[in-house]
Amino acid sequence: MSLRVISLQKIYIDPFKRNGTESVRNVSFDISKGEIYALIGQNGAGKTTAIKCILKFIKLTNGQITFNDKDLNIVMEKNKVGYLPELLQIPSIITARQYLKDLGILRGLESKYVDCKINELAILLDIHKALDMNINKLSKGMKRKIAFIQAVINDPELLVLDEPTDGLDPISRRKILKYIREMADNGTTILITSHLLADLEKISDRVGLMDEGQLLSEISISNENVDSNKLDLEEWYFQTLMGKEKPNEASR
Amino acid sequence: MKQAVKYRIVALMDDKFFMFITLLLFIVLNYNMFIDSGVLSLGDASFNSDIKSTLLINNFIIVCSIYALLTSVYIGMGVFGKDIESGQIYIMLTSFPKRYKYYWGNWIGLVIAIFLVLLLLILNFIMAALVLGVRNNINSVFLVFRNVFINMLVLMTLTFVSSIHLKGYKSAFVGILGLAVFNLYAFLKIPFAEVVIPISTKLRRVLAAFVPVVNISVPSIHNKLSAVYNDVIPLGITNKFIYQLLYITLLLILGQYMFKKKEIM
Repeated sequence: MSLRVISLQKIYIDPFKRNGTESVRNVSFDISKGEIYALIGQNGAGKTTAIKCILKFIKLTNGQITFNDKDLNIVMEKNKVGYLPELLQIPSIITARQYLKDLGILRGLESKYVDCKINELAILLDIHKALDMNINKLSKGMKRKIAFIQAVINDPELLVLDEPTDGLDPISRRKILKYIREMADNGTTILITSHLLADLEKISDRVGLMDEGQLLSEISISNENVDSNKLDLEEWYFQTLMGKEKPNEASR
Repeated sequence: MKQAVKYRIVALMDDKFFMFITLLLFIVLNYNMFIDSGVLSLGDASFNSDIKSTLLINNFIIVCSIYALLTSVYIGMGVFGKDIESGQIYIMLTSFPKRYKYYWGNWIGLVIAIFLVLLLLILNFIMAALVLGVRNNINSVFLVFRNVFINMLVLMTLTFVSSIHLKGYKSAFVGILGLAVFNLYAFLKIPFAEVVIPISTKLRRVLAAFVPVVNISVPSIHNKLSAVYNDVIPLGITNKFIYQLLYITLLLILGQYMFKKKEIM
């Protein structure tokens, strides 16, 4: 089971100009079942556009996206895709529990199962006391946790996370990262983007670096590398992106 | 689709400005009605009953029409833009791979919201009529509310469909432009300006085809409690109500196609 992205290209055509803007250029990568693939890059590198193309929010100019060698729509129709956007504002007049329950039912889950799942995840992320509060009374971090729960409530086969730990305290971050890793170990295919490279280093299996719409380079993160401190993702990021710049100079 | 309908209604209830203007409508409406009618209630209960009745229905028609048309533009504007800003559209579309379900669910949610507000207005009207001891022609009242409802649907759908490509207040502009066109062909005037524009009946009927809103004139004391319909019928059409339904259906089908092709950035 894997996500396969082949020669992804997105050109935005400006109706007033002849040439369009190429936001994503010939991006290809595979993510195997149970693998966490991280997309990193500077702001405007094309990460979010690539994700939106993959999830069909934006139409591809060229390229192909398959999941298990079939069209991704098939997985989406089975409600087996989870997505956490970078920004998610939740209607403030309902309770967190109601919001999550509605989304669970929307994704075809049984009401009882949704209740159990909400409780389980809320306890895990330490927000069970906030479940019955109106969302406008929750802190930014709590809202982010609710947003994370909505992405995983349907036990997705493909999970796409855009900045999942943004705005969270260190303990919550650790809990969410651990949960993401466990999901992957249980067979979920995960695509993640974040600017927190230390977080990605802990959980990712592979990392792809995007710049100006292109996938510049990929790196595997093996346990051996991390344990023996052979790999420093931040250093690799700077070296690849800056090209000529030496690591020592980059870290100054 | 049911969940999209529910989400749209919740989102509307979450809109504090919408809730505020709805509450304000009821306060203004009842204040006007009871003060004005109270002044005329001196003496015998049957005294000035025609005037009281006319006043009651006048108040409702005027306030309902103005409020309803503006509300339709307000709730229809920026529906999709607001969802993109909040990120909810991505969650919904991940759950609804068929975009039309999300699209229709949103529209139905807005229709239900409009219907509920009008239902409250009807109940308010009936209660006011009972309190003031005014008897009204039920068929006439029903016809007025039916026309207010269909007018709201026309403008809301126009704004809703334009909000697919126009963000926020830009889509409201389409609805307001629609209202201006309606004012032009119905009253031969530019709104908020006392400029009379003499246009031919044929052109008025052409304009009415683009924005088919029924002109609900208030009843006068001479025609005994009935609303007057001094309407402009679109060119080539005999039944404006049927035309309005057809217009809404065609707009929605066009909107569904536009939404299918839309790139959700």
